[in-house]
Amino acid sequence: MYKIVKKETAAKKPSYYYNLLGLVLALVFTALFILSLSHHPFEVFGAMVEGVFGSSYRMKSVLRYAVPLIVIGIGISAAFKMKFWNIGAEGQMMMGGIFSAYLALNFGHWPALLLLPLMMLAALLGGGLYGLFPAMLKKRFGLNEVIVTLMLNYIALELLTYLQFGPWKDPNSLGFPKIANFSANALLPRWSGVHIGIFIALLLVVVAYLYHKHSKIGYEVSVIGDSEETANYAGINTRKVMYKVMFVSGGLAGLAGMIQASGDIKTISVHLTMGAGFTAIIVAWLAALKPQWILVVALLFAMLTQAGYYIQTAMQIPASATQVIQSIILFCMLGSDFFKEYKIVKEQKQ
Amino acid sequence: MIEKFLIAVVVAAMPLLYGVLGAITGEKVGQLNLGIEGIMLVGAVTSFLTAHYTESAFWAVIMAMASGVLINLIYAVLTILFRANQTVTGLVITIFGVGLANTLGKPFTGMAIPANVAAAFEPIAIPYLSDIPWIGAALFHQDLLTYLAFATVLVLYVYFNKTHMGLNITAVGDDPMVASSVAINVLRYKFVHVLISGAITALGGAFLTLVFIDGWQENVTAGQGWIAVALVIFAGWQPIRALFGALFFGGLSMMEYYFKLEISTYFVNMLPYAFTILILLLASLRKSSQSFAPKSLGLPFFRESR
Repeated sequence: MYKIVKKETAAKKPSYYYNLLGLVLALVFTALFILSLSHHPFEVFGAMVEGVFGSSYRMKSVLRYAVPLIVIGIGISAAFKMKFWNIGAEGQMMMGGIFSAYLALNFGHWPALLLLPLMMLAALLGGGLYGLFPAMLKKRFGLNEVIVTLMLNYIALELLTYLQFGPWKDPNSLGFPKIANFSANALLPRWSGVHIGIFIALLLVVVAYLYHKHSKIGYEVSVIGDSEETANYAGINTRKVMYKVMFVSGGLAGLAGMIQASGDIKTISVHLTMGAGFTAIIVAWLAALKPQWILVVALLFAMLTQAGYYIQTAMQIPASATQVIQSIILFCMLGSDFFKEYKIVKEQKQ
Repeated sequence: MIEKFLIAVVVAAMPLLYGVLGAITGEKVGQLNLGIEGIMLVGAVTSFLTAHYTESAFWAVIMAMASGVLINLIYAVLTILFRANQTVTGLVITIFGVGLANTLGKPFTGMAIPANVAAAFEPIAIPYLSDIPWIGAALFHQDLLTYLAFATVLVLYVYFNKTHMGLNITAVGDDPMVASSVAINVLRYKFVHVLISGAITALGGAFLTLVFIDGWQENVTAGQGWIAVALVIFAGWQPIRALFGALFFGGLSMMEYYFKLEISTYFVNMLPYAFTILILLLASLRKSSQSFAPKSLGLPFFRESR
């Protein structure tokens, strides 16, 4: 028989050693998966690199995909640190998009300097309230936040579908169900082909890093995450902290919705999120909920996404295959974490 | 009219029912699995592909169950052996399952299953019982997979509540440390039931491709796996109540096809999700249902930390 033993502190290798090992394993599994799709792994890996670094347009696409992952990832990590499993970033992002689009569509003639900040505030409010609601249901009635936030995703998607096919349908689109493009004043400024959302994301990383390390609420969140009982005992108002953090967590997802709408697709549609709300969960977890690592992991995942789109057109590999590759990486990471603390040894017969 | 509606409700409820029963089987031993949606979708694509290539209804069902076992093997190794976080692992199982199923199914989108397989899942009337007015046809003039679902409800009810093993399962789910101290092999109980849970869950997907739509469509589960996870709480971890919960949601999803409703179809589509939250709320107000929850649900088990 084998048994699991906790490692002696002295015998531990640095933790990134096991993550690297996990990454190598993930590469092997990914290669096997690609083989099973009757493609040559090295050709596909080569095409993926080509798809990311092959042109400046492709590299800019990587930045475009990374922005929502960073912004949402920061918000999710704050909630996860408190062990509040916010799976609802998709819905919160859509709500932020809807709130900001309301302003963009109705007050598009306002000057950009007034309109854009207002749209951001509206997005923060829309996403924030949509994040606050499940927090209230959890604190007041003990409802499982995973289920509630998930259901809210579907409700937001139906609402957005309703708007796109109903009251917000562009009358000039010849019957095609799409929402009108935002006016120029409602679009985020661009800087050499990249919208300024990337700077907002970078700023957020810095702010989140400082908050995490040096603020009272950052500390309180960590305590609640370790044990809510301890937090209560220490006189932390857990309800207030949870409400605040979930408002910010949802609000950031909402902001990402505004950035996507105003910076990237120039309108909103049912395809606003492109699954960023779910991918950001993986990003946050892989980054161990640390802002500086979220930046790195989000860029890596954005590269994977861009590579996925490229091999879809170049080699006819469906985009859903990227999801499989992403989850293979995460499986290996989840597995490798175990070996940081434990080892499996053969049990001696007595 | 009402009779037709009831028949449709039962059919619509079955994928959910398999999902809930699968989720309950895992959660009874303390394993919270958010991968239900992914497992169902993999079950759906596997049963479709098997039916497509073997033209055998039997193998389509068996292979679907096998695929559920395999997917949950990943979950079991990571959460039970390697003590990974159950919430995160389950989520990744869903992303993996959805991605895998849509990748494998891509070339077959919109295709129907072979006629002989579809014929094997035509409704079969049970003599006398199916003649009961109103509910007879809904319950006793159905396909084989529906009867199998009814049977699974009964088997699980007896297994959990009337057998020695069922007692052990409750012990494992409530307090694995105590269970372990009375020589119950906790890890084996967890492993076996998580694998069985995968097999049952995958049947929900198989039902969709083999019976409900007779073919493959991308994302055919459309979030039903998530509703199943929520229904577990409503059902209080009890198979019989799971049946009623599934029927209720089946009714909700079929309503707009049989009754003229005055509201936009987008809002009707919201109902199952809104009702899920409402039902959780009711379940929490009725405190008793919480007491059925396995007390170690979602927590890792460390034997050496006694």
